[in-house]
Amino acid sequence: MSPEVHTLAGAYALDAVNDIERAEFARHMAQCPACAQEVAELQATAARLADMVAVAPPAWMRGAVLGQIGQTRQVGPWRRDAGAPAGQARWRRVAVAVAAAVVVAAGAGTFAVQEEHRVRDARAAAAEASTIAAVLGARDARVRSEPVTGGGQVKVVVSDALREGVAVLSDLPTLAAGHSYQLWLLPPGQTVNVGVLRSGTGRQLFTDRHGAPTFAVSEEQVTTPVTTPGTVVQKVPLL
Amino acid sequence: MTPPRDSPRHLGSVPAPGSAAPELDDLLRRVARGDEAAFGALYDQVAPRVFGLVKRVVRDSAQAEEVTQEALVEVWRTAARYDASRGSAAGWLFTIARRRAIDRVRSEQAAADRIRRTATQEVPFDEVVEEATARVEQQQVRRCLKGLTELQREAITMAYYGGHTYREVAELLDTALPTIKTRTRDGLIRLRDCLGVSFG
Repeated sequence: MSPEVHTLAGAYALDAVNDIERAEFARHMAQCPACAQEVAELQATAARLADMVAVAPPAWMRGAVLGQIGQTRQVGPWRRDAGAPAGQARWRRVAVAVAAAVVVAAGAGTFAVQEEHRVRDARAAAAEASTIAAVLGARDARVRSEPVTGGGQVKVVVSDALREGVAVLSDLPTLAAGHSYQLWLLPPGQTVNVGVLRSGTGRQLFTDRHGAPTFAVSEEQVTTPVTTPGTVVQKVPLL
Repeated sequence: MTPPRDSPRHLGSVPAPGSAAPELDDLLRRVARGDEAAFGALYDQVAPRVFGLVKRVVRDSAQAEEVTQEALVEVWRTAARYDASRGSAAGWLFTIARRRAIDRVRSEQAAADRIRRTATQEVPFDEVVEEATARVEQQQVRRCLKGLTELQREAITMAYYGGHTYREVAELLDTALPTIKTRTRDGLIRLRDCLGVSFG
């Protein structure tokens, strides 16, 4: 375990980190039982800080809250069935998983990321990271994922409220020289080009103005500008 | 910074005076099964701490009342998703409340505006001490907080009560990011050992 990552245990336990850092540290803990133990202890310690500020709420609140829970349906434990009510907490956890995937993708596609960073100034990168975090954390975020023939998967997170989405490609087949993966939204009767990735692992933020029902990845020749998808590698239904 | 490993932190397996953690775990499990009476008992046990914490973060009584209700209803709704193997019930519950409070603050005003305002206003520890009553567990936390260095204490209280990320804390305290990171962790470890908190 890298000591540098591990020093984040305190801020993580206080929940004083951003979404990307939270996902990264959660991934770290999955491989480090001692760290998970330390964080659980520090979280329990942080909870004691609430003792210090305890103030009795107004007396009417008890009845109000108990009245509300009588009309509030409870969600079940974590399950993978898509039909389950989409509570915010559920999406938060899914979002964290996707954020972790983004981090993994960023690590695996080091070359692409470094290349990107050379041409993009730090301010734009920071703005993008915060938009990605906002999409992943949006209350209405939907996560759709499809495996790709030949290997890897395409994961798409969209928020109708924000009209933004994030596509995460992981481990798609290596491209032939001069080829790229092109990303598309497919509103009815249209094809909207929303980005290009030079490798099978990477992520792309996009704007989804019309709530397109379908997302697609195609393989294209870098030299040929395209307005419609060539070889569609995978479609992802978004609704 | 880390106290020697032979320090008496495992005394914490005996609950601290006034600490009701095992009971809270049990209540939450019953709440997860739809037990409304258990929720009532849970409300009585945690509502003052949830309300106090939310009020501390949003700094407005009317909004704190709203957010506290939302957070407690959320606890009811998602109780089945609490995983006892990963952390204490109190920690889980206060995290929900604190996040709701922070979301409220962030939706109310731009982050930069907040940083500017709080930079001049925030004196968390003094306020906290002032408000603390004579309850035993509060005295214990207060005594243990006093045992931290000033930077450790500020980093922790600004993040926890102020609802700031450690990056914002670094900016507010005009201190290097790695320093804030390590002081936060060292301070929490010292606090854990002083309070005798253990888990699992």
